[in-house]
Amino acid sequence: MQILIKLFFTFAKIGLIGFGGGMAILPLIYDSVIQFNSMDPDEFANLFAISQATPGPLAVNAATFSGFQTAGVFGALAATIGVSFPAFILVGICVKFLDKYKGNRLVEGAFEGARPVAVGMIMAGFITIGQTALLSVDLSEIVNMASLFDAVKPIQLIMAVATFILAKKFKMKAFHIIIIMGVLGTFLCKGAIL
Amino acid sequence: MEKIKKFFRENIYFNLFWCFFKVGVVTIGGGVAMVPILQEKICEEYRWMTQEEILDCITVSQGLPGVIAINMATYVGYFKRGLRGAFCSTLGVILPSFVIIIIVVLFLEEVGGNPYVGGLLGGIKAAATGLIAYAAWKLGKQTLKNAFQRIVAIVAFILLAFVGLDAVWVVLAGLLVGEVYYAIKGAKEGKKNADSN
Repeated sequence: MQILIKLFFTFAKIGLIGFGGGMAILPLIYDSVIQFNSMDPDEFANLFAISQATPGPLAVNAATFSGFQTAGVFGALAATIGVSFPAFILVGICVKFLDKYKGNRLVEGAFEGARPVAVGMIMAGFITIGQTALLSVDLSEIVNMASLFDAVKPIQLIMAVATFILAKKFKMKAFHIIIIMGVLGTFLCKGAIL
Repeated sequence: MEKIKKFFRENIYFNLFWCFFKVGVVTIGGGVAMVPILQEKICEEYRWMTQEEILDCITVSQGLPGVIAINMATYVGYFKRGLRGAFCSTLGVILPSFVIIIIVVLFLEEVGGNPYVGGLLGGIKAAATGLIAYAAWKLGKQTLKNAFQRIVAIVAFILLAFVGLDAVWVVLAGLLVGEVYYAIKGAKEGKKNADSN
């Protein structure tokens, strides 16, 4: 029981003080995981590689992994509930607050700036995800056009462009495109994760 | 049988869970990768939110600490049906990765070393890249209505993607700039009204 409580609180910390999500909270996730699992940075890199390639947010994957290794399914539950618990309080307060002060000058003004920022965030997400999906090296290692051409994975690039066209021109649903590209990728982009 | 079908079609709590479960299954990497499919489902299919409201959800989720995917699910759930709604949507978004990771741990070598599994996930990621580009284009076209909004979006993009600034600072800066712009706009309109009177 004690270990379950410890799992809950350790991973609740990520939900409470981890700003930025994903890569930004990687060190925080590592610190939490090594409290329970003797894991060297190499093994953590493996966990990270798997997590990057499988569905779900990194922090949730790490919490589930760590909890499961430590105390089985209940451990996984304790850690995963821990990582998501703070959101219930913080997001809950935010939604209530925004609902209450809808139409207030200060809130409207804040949104005037916040909405375009959200669009910028989605554009930045395109760079973050595009670099792991379409390039074979990190974006920071690309110094000129030649190294960019070398790094691009051609099949994945064509699939990404085809996705854009299917969504925009043919109004195909995201869910269906993902299934099609998954099936195509199984045969065209073969390659082990580890 | 009809009753059961009706429940699955109309029960808001089940739909919150199911919508986010599907989103959780197909989003690799979490966070912003969720946006395209979330936007499509929530603004177009279920019509739970407007385009502007989903943008509010995205900024709040990125600006708050914690896991962005969970914050977004909790936000939508709260927005629709309070605490119980939040519980259903968050459960939905977590469940797929919970199950998948346990399977992965049990079969780590087989999963990690299988080239077909790698190919499947690589294909899904390529699709995610195209979908995010489309979502950015679509949401940008629909919500960026003047020069001020376009400039803020592009500056935020550069700061996040290339300067590597933390999202929380960009959000705070956006809020401040928004306040200033809104105040100036309000003052100008006030003056115009005073002139025409």
